[in-house]
Amino acid sequence: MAPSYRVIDYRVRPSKYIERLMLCEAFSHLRFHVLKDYQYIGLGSIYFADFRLFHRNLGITRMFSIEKQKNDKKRVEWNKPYSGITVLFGESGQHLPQFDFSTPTIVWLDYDGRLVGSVISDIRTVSRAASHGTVFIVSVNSQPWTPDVDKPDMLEQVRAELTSSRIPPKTSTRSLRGWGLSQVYRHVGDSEIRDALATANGVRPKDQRMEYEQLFNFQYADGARMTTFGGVFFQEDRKDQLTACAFDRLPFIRHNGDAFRIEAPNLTLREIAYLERQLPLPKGSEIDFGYMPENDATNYINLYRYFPTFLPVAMT
Amino acid sequence: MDNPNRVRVEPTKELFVYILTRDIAHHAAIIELLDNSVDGAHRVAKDTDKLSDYKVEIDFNSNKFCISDNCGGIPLQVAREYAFRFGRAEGMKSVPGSIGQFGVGMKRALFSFGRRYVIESATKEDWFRLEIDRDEWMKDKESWDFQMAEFGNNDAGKPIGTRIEVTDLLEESGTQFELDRFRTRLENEIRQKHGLFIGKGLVVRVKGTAIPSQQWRLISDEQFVPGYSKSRYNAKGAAVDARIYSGVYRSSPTDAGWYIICNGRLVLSADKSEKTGWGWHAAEADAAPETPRYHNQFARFRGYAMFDSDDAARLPWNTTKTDVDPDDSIWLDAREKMASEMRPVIDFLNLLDAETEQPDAERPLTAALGRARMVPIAEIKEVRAFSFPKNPQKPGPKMVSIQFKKEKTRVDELQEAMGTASARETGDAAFEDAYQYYVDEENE
Repeated sequence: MAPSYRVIDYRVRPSKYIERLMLCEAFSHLRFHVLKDYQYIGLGSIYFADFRLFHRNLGITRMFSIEKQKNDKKRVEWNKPYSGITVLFGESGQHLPQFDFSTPTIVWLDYDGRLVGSVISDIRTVSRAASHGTVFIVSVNSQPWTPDVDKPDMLEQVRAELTSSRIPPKTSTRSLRGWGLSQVYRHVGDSEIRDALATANGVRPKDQRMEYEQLFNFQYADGARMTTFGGVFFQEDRKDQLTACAFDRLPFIRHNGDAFRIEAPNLTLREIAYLERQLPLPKGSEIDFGYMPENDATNYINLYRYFPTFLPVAMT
Repeated sequence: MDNPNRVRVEPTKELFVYILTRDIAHHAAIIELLDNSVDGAHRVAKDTDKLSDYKVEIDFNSNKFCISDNCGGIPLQVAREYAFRFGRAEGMKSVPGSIGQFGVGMKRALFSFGRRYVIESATKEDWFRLEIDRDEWMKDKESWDFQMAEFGNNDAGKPIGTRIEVTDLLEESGTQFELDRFRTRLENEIRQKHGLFIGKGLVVRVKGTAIPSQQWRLISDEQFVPGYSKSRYNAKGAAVDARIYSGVYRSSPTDAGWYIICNGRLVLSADKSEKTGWGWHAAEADAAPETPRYHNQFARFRGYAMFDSDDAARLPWNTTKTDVDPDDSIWLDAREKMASEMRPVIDFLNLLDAETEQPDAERPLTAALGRARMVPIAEIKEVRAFSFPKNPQKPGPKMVSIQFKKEKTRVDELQEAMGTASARETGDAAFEDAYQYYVDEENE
């Protein structure tokens, strides 16, 4: 299979861009450790968009990119934007167990593919090793599909990929359509994080046990539907630091199964400027939408601080 | 010690509290409690094939476990004399075809969950309430008895049924009961293990969510005949009836394999190991016939071996009901039958696999399968070996085309909502969903 960066330029997908900025802002709220002391582990591809953002905005310097395409080694190395980035070639499942998670760590496993067994195994590796202040985020493709004749149907394939015991028995192929697969993936991923954590806690002294708080549950579709879920690990007796992060001041934080849907609105530059002049909206006042569809305008108000300031331009 | 010849062998309470509890996982222990409810329903139901009047509610969190049912209740006398004994006591009348048999399930579940138990039960005639503090009970080195907290005649008409509550949970249990992963695993297990009873109407709710039934089916029509055999074992004690169904169904590497069911309760599912007859080689196996190891080309294989007896002790299951008893003589005989009945299905699936090399037009078996009906195994009555069309017709299933026009905006909306890629795919998916809704689920 061709690496996905040959097909998609990751920099110009607006919803992905918005998600990245939102995550970055959430990281800037972290109060467990000095932000600059964090290491970042990602799947940087050849664009390293997340690496650039987190280095420039958060000052993180120790960065690791796991890259499974071994044939493009030279090109990947050449595209590294900063010297602080180490590229590790191979599967995430091979490298993740090698990291020292006792140092402050942000891990964002932004996969191209679906939630499958190898992802579950990565989720368990990180959840078991996570320490106080570890941030863990997973993104997977959750686009439903119509199988070919004679191929197992969607539910059957999802059950085969994740084993039946992980899928709630009420699930049907019909319920997986639309954003249904995304909901199942978030549920399975979240359950797995908590299950792996409980296993690890089972053999820890009481005062060293970790807890997990979900912070992120994004859905968006620049093309394929994508799902991002994740959160932060912390020690029970240092929960005051979690409170100090004040994550709930951010409008996109989600602690449960109700996703924050990123929908990039279709507005003209003039309309955007008109809305922005009124933002942030003073308490109690109502915004004037002009002639814009209310839906698009509301979407924009929810996203405006994260909306990309570039425009895709056709060069030919 | 007065008698110098005396050697003590009586069991200790610790054996039951700390040792036997190690043999069972929490979800399996909950399912054992559910077994008792099912036995209750069987005892009081007029027709054991119609259980829709009976309900079981299971609820748990990090502090508490609770199971309650309306399945007849435990008679006061049975509670006093038998129900709480470790092991089945002589003289206890059993429900014919019962599944809670060994006299360890309930206690083992309680001990493995927590330290305090409240058991309330009411029948038409009487009712009682037990409150047990495990640690207090263990301190008493003389008596093994529990004490009734309250009991009486049920003249006041207390709702009939049994309710078991465990509090002061052990740490491991509290942790498990909090996890979604645990809940999903339990729901799936209940669906599988009690699917037959749920299919007969029994309502089982886990944290308020009703568990759907699971219907076992095989492909069956004029061309494909599922294998079905019956035998009766009555060499000793109560007779055991064995029914073995074998055949093909939808391709599924997860679901393929053998299912072993004792008195309606699934004990082993989708087994693809030597235990159920896969990969027997003449040289090493002490059983005939020769069979291949499981490969995904056999993903359509399904086999169901059902054992029924009035005396549940005669059935070939282990005490946790999570597997077969590997040395049981009935089992040893039955599994050779299973292996030989599997053989023609394997032969067919090998032929089917060989067709995948051919162009679409030259896959008559694949095409014939596509046309075939799927029938619940309960409807298979004729004793025969599995057979498949020897000279299947070439053309594929009879097809009709469906054509309709809808407003483009609505089609676009539906396409967006379903996540499909084109109008054609949307129409196709809509048909499949409707089929699942009106045909598949209606039949379950």
